[in-house]
Order: sequence, then C-alpha cells, then structure tokens
Amino acid sequence: MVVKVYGSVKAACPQRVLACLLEKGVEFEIVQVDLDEGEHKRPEFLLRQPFGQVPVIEDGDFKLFESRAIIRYYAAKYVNQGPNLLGNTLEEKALVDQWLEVEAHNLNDLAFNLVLQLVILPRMGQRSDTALVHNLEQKLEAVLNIYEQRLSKSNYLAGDSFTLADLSHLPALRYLMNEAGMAHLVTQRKHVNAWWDKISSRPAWKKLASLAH
Amino acid sequence: MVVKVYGPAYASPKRVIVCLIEKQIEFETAPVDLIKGEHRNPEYLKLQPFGALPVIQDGDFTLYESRAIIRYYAEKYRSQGTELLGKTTEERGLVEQWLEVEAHNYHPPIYEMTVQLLFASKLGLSVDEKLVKKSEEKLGKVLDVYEERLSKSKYLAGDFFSLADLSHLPFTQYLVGPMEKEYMIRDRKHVSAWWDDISNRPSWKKVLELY
Repeated sequence: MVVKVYGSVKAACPQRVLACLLEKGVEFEIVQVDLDEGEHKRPEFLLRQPFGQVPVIEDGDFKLFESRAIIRYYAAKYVNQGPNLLGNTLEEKALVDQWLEVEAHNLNDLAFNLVLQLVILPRMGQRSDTALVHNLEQKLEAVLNIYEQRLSKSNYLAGDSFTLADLSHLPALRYLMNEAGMAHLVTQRKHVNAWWDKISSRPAWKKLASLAH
Repeated sequence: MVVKVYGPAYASPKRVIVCLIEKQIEFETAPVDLIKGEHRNPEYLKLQPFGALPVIQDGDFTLYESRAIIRYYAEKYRSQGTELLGKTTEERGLVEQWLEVEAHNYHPPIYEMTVQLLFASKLGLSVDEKLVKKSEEKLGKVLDVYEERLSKSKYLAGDFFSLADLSHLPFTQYLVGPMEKEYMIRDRKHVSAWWDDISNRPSWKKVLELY
C-alpha cells in the first residue's frame, strides 16, 4: 500500500514530507490539493485536516497531519531503511528535535512572511510592505548568524550526519534563495553556505526539486 | 548529577518541569529574570543562543527548546513514571501530531495574548487591544477544533494522557488564571472536561505549588 500525500508538490510543508519519503525510499502518491482555489478550506478537506492545512498523509487506515510529525513518524517507522535521519543516540535525537523546533519557531515564520511579501503578494497584484520586509530580513540575519556559529562547529545541525533537522529547512530556504531573491542570506555565510550546498545536493532533494519546479 | 532547568518562573520551563515530575526525574532550577533581561546576558546566550527559555543542563549535555526537552526525557525514562508517548509507533505519531498542533496553532495566539496582557505593562509598553482581540478570535477557532476532537477522544492523541496534552498546561493556566479568560475553556464542554482532568494531575498541582 502506497502512502497518499495530500498537498501540492510545490508547497513547502508537503515538500518536507516528500523529501523525507524520498530519502527513506518509501513509495508515495501525491493527491493534489489546489491551494490557490482554496480547496484546503473547504468542508471535504477539513474532514481530513480540521485546521485546513497541508499536508495530510493516509497510509492504509492510518492518517496523520503536521509535516514535522509525519517526518518523525516515517523516520522512526523505517529507521532501518535508507539513511538514519534521527541520530544514533538519544542525545543526538534530542539535538535533532532541538533544531527541528528551532526551525519551526525561529526561522519558519520569518521565511514564510518574506516569501509572502516578496513572491505571493506581488503575484496576486498586491504591494509588499518594504519596511516589514527589511525588518524580517534583519531578524532572519540574526537567526542565520547563530546557524553560522553552530555549523562552524558541526557538519550538520544535530551533529556529523544529515538528519530530519537539516531536511526540514530545505523547502523554505529554497524558496527564499530562488523566488524571493534572498540567496545572499546563505551565500554570505561561509558555513551556512557549505551546509546548504551539501544538503541541497542530495539526490532525494534534487529529485523533488525537479518534480516541483 | 541532577538536571538543571533554567527559568522556572515562566511558562515554557514549566512544560519541562511538569514532564520531569510525571517521569519521576530529580531536578533543580536556576532563576532567569526576563524583565531584567537576564536571558540576554552573555553567559545565558552561551547556553541558549536564541535567548529563549528554557535550557537544561544534564551533566555535560545541554539542550534547549522545551518540546525537544520533553521528548528527550519522555523517551530516555520510558520505563519509569507515566508513559507520555503512547504505546505504538502510530500512537507516537498522533502524540507528535498534536504536539505540533499545539506548537503551530495553539501557541502563537495564546503567546501573543500572554505578552500583551501579562507582560506588556511590565516592559513599559502599552497593550495592543486589536492584537489581543484578533488573537482571542484565532484561539477560539482552534479551541472549536479541540472541542470536536475531544468529543471523540478522551485526550488529544487518543484515550491516553501524553506529551500532547501536557504541552498545553502552562499557557492555558495563564489563560484561565491571570488573563481571566476561563470562559474560553468553560464555554466548550469537552475542552472544559479535558482541562479539569489534566490540570488536576498531581504533577501540575505540584508545579503550581512550587513555582
């Protein structure tokens, strides 16, 4: 039975799940949810995800939502298949969770709001708020300075190997560096840049990026 | 060697403390005064570079982000105290789902309300009434989803208490207590029953007694 992923291959949160499934070699099919059409806010979809958000997975009878819960589930379920994305000890796993939380609470909102201002609003014919963009950029610079510090001591966020913590950053950073034109945030930081090169060159990510963009 | 938890006076550290008590893990605390800006001191930033609370030190091991800390201890001490992660991989998946829901849907509006209603004046700022109203509306919509869920399930992840429920304790306590918005919980029959259940656990009563 193949995992059904409800969402869009172009949307950041579903991409987080798709990247994980590709890394772990878990077969999936994408069930398109048209976000531009507001499909995710309609009653039929709300039965699947009551907060009206993507992604959702259906794996036989088992249903799950929240991308960072889904990736933790599959990384654990298939721990012996594909790369280990959870660290080798309980302490390493804790650091994976720590950096997953950092991504969720310190980086994700800033990145999302920058993409909203610089990419989505203009696409909808609306003007972006220049002062807000500047403010968001400054905050993101401060956060990435901390990442620079961390990655000067450690090859990947949670330690020496690629884990869910690094994977979780791929979708938003790609959007920031491409459509939002903010590549300098990464390229101006030596260790963040080297880390980005490594994680974005992984075959699983390259496969997803070619499917999506 | 005992786990040291920084910042017990505040909500997010209490998320960690209640978990440690449920798992029967000994701990000590170290104060951090946010109003005095102690979270911005160089010594604190060495432990938690984002300047947020809490951080724990357990021997050589330093860890921050309360939801990472509770996952760590719930797993490390799996065989003692309350089981907080469910029994199967799928139950664990649901625990993770509702922990993420708390972090992404519940926490942002309730945190805004906390900052505005409980901390703005202490920091010499005026309360943004529009933001409070908007946040309360958002939180209300989230609580409506919870009402539906809890009408079918005793606890968020299933018929068992877990980290997902525990994670809601500290800020919801602010809501029903000093923020004086208990009606948001009481107006919803199943949320109300769930709140009574989880907030009357001996572990949470102990936290309120100590801090």
